Amino acid sequence: MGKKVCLVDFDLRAPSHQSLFTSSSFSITSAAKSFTGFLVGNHEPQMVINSTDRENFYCVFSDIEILQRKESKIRTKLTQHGEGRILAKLFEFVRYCNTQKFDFLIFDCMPGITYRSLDALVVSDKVMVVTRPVRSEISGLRLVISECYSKLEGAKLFSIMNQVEQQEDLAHIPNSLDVNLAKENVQGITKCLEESSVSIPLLYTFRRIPFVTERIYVLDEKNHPFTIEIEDFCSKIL
Amino acid sequence: MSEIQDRELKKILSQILDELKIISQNLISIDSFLATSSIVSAETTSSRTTVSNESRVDALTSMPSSLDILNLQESRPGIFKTYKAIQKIEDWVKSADIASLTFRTRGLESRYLNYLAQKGFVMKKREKIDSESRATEVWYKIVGANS
Repeated sequence: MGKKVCLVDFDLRAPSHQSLFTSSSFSITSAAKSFTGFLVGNHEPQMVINSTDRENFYCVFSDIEILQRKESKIRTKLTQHGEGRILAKLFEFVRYCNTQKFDFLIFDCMPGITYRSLDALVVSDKVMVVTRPVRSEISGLRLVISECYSKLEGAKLFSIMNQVEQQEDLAHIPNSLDVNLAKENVQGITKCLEESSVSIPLLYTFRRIPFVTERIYVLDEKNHPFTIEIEDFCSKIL
Repeated sequence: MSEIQDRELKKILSQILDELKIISQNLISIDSFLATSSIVSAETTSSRTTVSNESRVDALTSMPSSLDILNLQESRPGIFKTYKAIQKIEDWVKSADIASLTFRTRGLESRYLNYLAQKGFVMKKREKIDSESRATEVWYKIVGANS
């Protein structure tokens, strides 16, 4: 029996997990309320956790009304709820999950640094920093490390680099300038992590794989190169 | 109805719709304000507790955000660990309980907890120990969204 895991779609502005899970060979066995509703005080924590057909795997979805309607009531309520109260609700959810004996509670945050991603950083014990070898990411990463990650006392930090061009892929790029730039960016991110004031080891480098659909490859394509990479990565972190 | 009248009517209706949207937004903000006020008044009417009502009202109305906590860690290195530890417990706790979680001394945790209480991150109360005439115990509690 595996670990008891709960995955929370904490990208409140653009929730995507609901569509991801419905387009894969995966089924939700109970329809729960939205996490956004919990954050604004409409629901209790036990009402927002969806059980699935996978043993010990639970997921929590954010409200997709934000995407569907321009004049979303929940969005207005969320913005008027107060930053401090949302953080308090998040801690309340973590405490509830502790009582339910979850081994892992994973918050999938929105890209970039916003109040919500800071909230997730504050409540977490481990932080996975996902980077991409892009020039803008290097300067941004340096700033985020000094302003946020360095203050997370007691939290374990590690990073992964996503969408890295492999040597065989670089061979197909016609312009040598682009090849050099791609290599420089990878080196830039690595150097930035190595020179940071806090330890953020680079655990894994994922190569760029062109995707055609929004399916979850680790569930649907057991022999896909990405699935093999994910399995290798999991064996390293667990 | 002529085309000009029709256009005028559409324009007026559109203005009414805009006004209604503004009214709706204002009502939501009033609703949210009233919800906060009811929490505060519920806190202040409690006469049994020994907690300073003033500090509790302050704590509820200006609940600190994640940015406030990270800034606090900058000015008081080490305080973030205390804050995280107390957030794990919903009930009133003593500094010794937090010390057992952080593996640091009770005195240090007491100092950090007092600072957190002073800044409105946690609530603080003092209770008399029945067996001893003058001794008191200090208790701390997180400020929850529905405190």
